[in-house]
Amino acid sequence: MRTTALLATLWLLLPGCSAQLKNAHSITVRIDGDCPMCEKTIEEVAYVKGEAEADWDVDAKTARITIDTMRTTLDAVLQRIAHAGYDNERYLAPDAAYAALPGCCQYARSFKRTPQQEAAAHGHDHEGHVAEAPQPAPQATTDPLTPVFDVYFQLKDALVASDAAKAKAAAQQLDAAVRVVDMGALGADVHTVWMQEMELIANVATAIGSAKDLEAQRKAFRELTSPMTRLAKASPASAPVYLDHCPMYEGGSNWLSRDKAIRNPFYGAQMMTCGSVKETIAR
Amino acid sequence: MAQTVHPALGTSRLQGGFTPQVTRYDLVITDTLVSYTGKLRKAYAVNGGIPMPTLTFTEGDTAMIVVRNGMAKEETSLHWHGLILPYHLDGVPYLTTAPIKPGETQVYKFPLVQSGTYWYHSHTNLQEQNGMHGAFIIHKRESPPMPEHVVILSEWTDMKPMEVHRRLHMANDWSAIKKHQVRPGSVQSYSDAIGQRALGVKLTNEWKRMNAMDVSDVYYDLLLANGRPVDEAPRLKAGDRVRVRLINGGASSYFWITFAGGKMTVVASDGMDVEPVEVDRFIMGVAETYDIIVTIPADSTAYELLATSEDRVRSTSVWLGSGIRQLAAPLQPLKYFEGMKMMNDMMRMNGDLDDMGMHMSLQQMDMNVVMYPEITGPKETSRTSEGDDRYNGNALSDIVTLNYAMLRSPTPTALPPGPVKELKFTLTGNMDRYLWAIDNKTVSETDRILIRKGENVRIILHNNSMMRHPMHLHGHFFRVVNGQGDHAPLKNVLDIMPMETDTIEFAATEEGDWFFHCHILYHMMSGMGRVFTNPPAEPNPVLPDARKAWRRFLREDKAWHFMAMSDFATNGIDGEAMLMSKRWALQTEWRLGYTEMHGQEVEAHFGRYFGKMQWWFPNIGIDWRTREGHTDSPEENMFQQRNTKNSRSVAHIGFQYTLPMLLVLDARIDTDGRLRAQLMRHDIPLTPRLRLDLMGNSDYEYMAGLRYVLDKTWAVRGHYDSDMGFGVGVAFTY
Repeated sequence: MRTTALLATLWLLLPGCSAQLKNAHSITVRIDGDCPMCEKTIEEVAYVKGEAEADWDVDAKTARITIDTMRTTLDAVLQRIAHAGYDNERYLAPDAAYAALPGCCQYARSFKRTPQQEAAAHGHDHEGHVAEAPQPAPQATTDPLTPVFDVYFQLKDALVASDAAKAKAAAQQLDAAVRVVDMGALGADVHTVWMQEMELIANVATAIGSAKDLEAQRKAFRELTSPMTRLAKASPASAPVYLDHCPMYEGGSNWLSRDKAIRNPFYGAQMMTCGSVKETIAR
Repeated sequence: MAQTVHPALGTSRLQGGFTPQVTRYDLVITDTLVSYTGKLRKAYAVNGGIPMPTLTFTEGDTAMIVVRNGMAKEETSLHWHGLILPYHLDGVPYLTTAPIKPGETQVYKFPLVQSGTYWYHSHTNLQEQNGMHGAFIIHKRESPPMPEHVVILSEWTDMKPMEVHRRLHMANDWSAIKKHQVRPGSVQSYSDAIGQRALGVKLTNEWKRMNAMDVSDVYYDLLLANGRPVDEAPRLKAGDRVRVRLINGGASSYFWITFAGGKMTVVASDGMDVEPVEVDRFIMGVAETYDIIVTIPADSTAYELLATSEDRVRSTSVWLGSGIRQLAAPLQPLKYFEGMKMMNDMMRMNGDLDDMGMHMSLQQMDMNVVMYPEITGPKETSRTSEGDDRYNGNALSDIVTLNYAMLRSPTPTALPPGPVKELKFTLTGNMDRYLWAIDNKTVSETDRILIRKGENVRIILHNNSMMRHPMHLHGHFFRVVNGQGDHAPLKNVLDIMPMETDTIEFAATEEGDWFFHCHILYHMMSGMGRVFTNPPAEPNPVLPDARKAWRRFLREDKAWHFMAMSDFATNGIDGEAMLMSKRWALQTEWRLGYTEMHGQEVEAHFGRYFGKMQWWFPNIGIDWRTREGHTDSPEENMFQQRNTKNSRSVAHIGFQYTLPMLLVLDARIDTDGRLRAQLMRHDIPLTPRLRLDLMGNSDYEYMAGLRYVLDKTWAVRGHYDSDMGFGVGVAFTY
């Protein structure tokens, strides 16, 4: 009898265990993501004790979200998930939140619409929209060196922001980008320069990638300027590239930038605007 | 053909012929009950809605607005913010316009000599806070059609605005505790300081007699866009360029504006066009308006235009477009201790601010960047820098933040030649007693400032207080002297940050009385302003008894505020009450024991606060106490004077002075010649809700108490008193 009573009690308790939320309502929602780490983050940010919980499935890319309808809304939960970097049916993550995700979590953003190509009549500055779309944007140019320059400027920006982790990631990407350049597509002159400089670029990138702090990264980054300048001059891009000069760092150092405004990668916020444009490299 | 030429606005922009029309609106003001948070609260509705309806006109036409006060008891007023109009229609009750009494109807009719984004609001007490604000849009006569959306931003508090005002005057930090629940760190207690390894910063702060840093004074339950927590403009598609007319109709909140769909192009401020400037974000001072143009990047997507309060406790959103919602990055919490460290460097021991030779002006150097994670990095990796750029957000990061130096008028705005009247105003303030003033004088403590037609008025403003102030001039546009020469922008609100010096100038073209005041409603009500008077040819037709009206107008900053605190403990009742104005206070304290042995003690004093920081409080008072059966306690004080505590009934004269560490020294001599010196400090924030009270004096009396704050009224308190012993109980605060 006692066993029966115990079982009966347990059975009575069971519904309480499986649905801890009052006024519970469940719904399945599509949420983008890539890996078990994504699952952990999504479920953590969705959870609020007594209000909401989620169970995300990495294969189906859907989550079962259960909420107490008297205390919160599905929109609130989906906003939290998007703020953590994950696009879903209703909300797109802020680009900064997506960019801050670890490399393995950088899923393909299936919900995001590509910004419309600008109608020339608008006369609108396009730059804002490039930042809008971190996924590989369709490249107008087929210059095989573009990815190398893109990553170089990312690395430079990371140093401007004094962000050692980002600089490390960019340096590793640069190392990878050097290895996949389609040399067959390079013009003859550029090809010669590339053959002379690629090893140095790859070596410096490796050095920055394994540098122990920001200071060491900056010191190594200085060595990239000369080979990158030669490349830029051999194959000028459509947008101008500026060769900037800082008289103070290591007795005078240069770097490349796509912006005319000075943003010093050797000192960052300490002396952000120290330096001057030495040369403009344009087509 | 109609031609509207106005001297203050230069040549008219109106070209070609048109027939001016009269556009009429009827407004009925009623009081109503609303429920924004689930609690029923009193508010003001106009034509049944909050906020007030958007009034739309075309430049060159005549506005005719018929206003009826449908409230049973309260009088009201409407001020047309930023409009050039005859002074008696300006809508400042008793200064220029008669108040609108219950049941009364007033007609406002004036030609529209300008175009742009303006607003209107009540200028009576704090009615603006609870719904009496609306947009006033004047379209250009010939402007190419483009989609536009008007957004008026405001705040909502469940607390009555008058209660908010009263509590601000008693330096109660309940607002900070409420903010702390949303954004931990707002109270800046000792436990927070230790947790963030910033105890030294906190101690230096208190040594310099600063309480916790307030980025804004008031806690709001909600921020609203067009009266709603979330506003929408769904009928926009990819590629659309939309003009958003933003108005900060808040009572005391500054808003940061950011956009999820890329850069914003600022094209007008306070109604006046500026040359387009592209930015990532900008801050809107209270009562400022900005027109921006944004492009909707992609189809089937709504982009978040995010308005976040300066303290980053709350935000409100406008969704531009329809479809899946693209969020903007939220503004991360402020690094308060970095801000306190910065204040420590800039605060002199006498309470003056020292800009350390940086000549700060026009929002270009923002000391607050030390608190912004998006500019100076997250907490752990705070970037610090030295030199000229250390507070320049645009040099420190890739984020472009608008400042006044970037505003340029498309047309020349140079003033007509004429004699210049130069005025220097120092904005002063005192957070603890909530005294806000210009040159340490409030509106009622000064006379009107005479200006004359043909004269140019130049005002050099310096902000020596610890808060920013949005200074608004009625009935004129002023030029903000910002390095753009003849193309200085025209504005009617100037945000001035602590330590900044800005110069504004205007031609005295308008006759009548014009209010110049801080547009933070609670600062205005405390007296932060001046009145300019440009003698009119005819007496004011709507205020025939000018002297009586002026006296009534001055009543605003003369209000007295009452506060009380008392506990009910096992060893007695311990409390104080205070009735205070901006300079005077009547204080009373009591310690009432339940037995004859513990006795009763009551004292009261009346005095006046002196100095800009009001650290001095000389006073006179009375002191009465009785008890029986005590023989063991010392009957002699530290000055070797005989001192019985069993029966005393004396008058005294003395002073209080606030020392470093916010210790209050109370020294007095009574009619029997006895001296007493006492040191005390109330409300030391050990943790966000746990507070320590300490007191000791030369009569060998001492007290130590701990208080745990439960809500805005109640606390649990335990204390030890040398006369009464140990006791626990509840304490209330009114």
